[in-house]
Amino acid sequence: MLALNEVAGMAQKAARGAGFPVGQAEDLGRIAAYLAGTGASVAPVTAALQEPVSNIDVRWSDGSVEVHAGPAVLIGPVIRDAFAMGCNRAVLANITHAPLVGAFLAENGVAQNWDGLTVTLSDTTVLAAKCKPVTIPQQDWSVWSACAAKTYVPETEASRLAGAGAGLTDND
Amino acid sequence: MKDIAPPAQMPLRPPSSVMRLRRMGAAFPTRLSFLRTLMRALAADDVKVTRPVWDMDAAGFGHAVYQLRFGGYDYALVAVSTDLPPELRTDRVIATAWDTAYVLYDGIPDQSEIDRIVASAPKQEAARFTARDLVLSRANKSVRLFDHVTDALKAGQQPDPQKIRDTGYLMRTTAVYGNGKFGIADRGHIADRPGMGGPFMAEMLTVWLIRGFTHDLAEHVGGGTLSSEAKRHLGIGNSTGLGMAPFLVNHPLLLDAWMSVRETAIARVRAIPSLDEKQIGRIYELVIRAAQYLAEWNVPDEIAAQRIDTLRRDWPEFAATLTPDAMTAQRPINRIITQSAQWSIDTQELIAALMLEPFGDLIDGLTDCMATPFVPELDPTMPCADLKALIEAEWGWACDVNYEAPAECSLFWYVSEEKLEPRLGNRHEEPGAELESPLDIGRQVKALAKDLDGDKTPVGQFLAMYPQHRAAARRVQSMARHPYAEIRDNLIGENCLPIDILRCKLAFFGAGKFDPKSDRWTRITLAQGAPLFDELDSADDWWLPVATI
Repeated sequence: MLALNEVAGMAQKAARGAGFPVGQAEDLGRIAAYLAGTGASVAPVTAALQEPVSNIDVRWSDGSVEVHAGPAVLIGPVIRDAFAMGCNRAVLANITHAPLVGAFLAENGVAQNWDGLTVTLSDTTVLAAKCKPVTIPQQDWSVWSACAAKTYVPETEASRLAGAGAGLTDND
Repeated sequence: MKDIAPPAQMPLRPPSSVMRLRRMGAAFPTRLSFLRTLMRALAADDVKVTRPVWDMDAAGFGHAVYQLRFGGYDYALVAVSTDLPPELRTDRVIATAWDTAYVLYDGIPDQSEIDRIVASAPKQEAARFTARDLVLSRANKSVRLFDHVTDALKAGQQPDPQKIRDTGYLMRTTAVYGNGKFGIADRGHIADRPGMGGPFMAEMLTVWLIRGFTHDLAEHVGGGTLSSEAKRHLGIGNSTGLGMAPFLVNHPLLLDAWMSVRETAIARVRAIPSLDEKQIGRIYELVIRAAQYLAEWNVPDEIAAQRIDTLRRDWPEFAATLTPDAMTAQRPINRIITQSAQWSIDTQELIAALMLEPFGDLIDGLTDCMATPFVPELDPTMPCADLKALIEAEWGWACDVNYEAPAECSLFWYVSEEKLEPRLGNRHEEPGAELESPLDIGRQVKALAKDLDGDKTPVGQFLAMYPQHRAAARRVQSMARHPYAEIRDNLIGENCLPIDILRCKLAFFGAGKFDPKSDRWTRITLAQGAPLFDELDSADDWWLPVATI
């Protein structure tokens, strides 16, 4: 079993390791904990971590935003922002992004209707995450761990002594 | 319901001064520190600590369980003491074994749970824990003092008071893990419970219980009883490294809550119109105590020793200004704090901490605001012009730095592959900078400012074009609402001393006797002078504890 704090921390590190910017990595950590805390599958997080980092292309119009390109980790926050800015409709470019984008909206309290690539507001309610131990499938955790490991710096004897400032023995 | 007006207060000290590293690194514990808050809460709840299990051999190896009921919930500390071969008593970063290991348990553990913890706790990070485990910790003996104390007791004597004063603890924790680490419960699991809502309350409860265990263990091995005075002066040591620095940077709203509460408390006592005789007497008493504390605070680190010397020189000068006329003037504390600017930053901070001590009725309630369930949120509707204006108004300390200059980017923070610990490297001499952790907040905000046009485009649309600035934009917006949320210094510049960040956080814990071992780790003492298990009803007077033995 894992604590939600571990889930969030690992997903955040994984996103950075996969090459995504800090802010979106922070967001993905929150979404991972939200999905796990609601009992939903974290597979959308895993899928998003495996997408290459690429530029995003979105077009804005009155009350709507249309995605033309971009990975889910970057698109999710854009759609959440769009609804917070008053948009009531978004159109994705990639249907596989829908679960993660849906989680971004739900975590922000936005209930939604999906029709293919199009998401609109709904008057239903969204699930709240519960603080409890959770299980993350091993295949997901392995992907996250491998991505997170790309943020770690291998040790040298010099860095171990100097980097932590702990060259002295700690006996007294 | 009647509205109750909040107490009067003077303006808060500005974040532009309070949030500089040098001043944060001069922080002292106050009555608002977490351990003090916990002790008051335990006393108010009439908590009784019992020790239902004591399974130790003559040499002090085995396990024990301590229990208490607090805020309507049962908690237990399971303490495991093992024989640590000298060759494993090694430098703390690569240590894999310790003299003692601990779990703060949620409830009363049955035998199978005790067995589980006795088997897993000594492995620390190498084991997995459950949501019934709230805190995981370990501690090593101060071998010299532990042996001296037990030898003295075996000889039917009390230990040498000077040796107790010199070290101040029998054991030193080297990690106190909470909030979901290694499978233990998330903080959210206990945050709503009475007494556990404040920051690090479970961790503070753990270290106070560990401290009591160290006394019991020494008495068991020595076969005698330590005097209460000796035990009271034996706190629990702690070695703290770089991990605390990223914590404060990564929890800006929590940092703001702690700082805002302390600064509001200072602003409240500054507004006190006049002091009565008892309050004046109390301040005099504390000034004398602080002088003794400074005299007893001896450290080998050169920079720290110089700063303590300066404190010792400033202190009599400061004391001499506390004349009867000064103390009976209008708003005396405001005058004292204003005039403290003539002394060193360390002296200023000690004076501010001291002035809070006599006024618990006025300020203790503020500690309810030191935890926050909130995290920074982005407001995508804000026009870019407003975001730019926020940067121009409050982020000069970040934007005025030339991060291309070697001295301003010489450090990089990273996580080590082997121990998954935060480390600090030299960008110009060591590999790995491309994997640096994002603690370069100032540099990030400067980069954001460069790309901001300052037009009416909503931030959300701007970030769709510049996704790399999302974290910086969120921090700028957060600081507008939480002015004490950011350390206002360049954390990758060559002048950054992580020890300053550590000391700030540790002072909020209630730590004293800071004993820096480098610019990036320090020893401290926690709970020195704190009430013993059977003294909770009589003691909230242990700010800057001085030896009574």
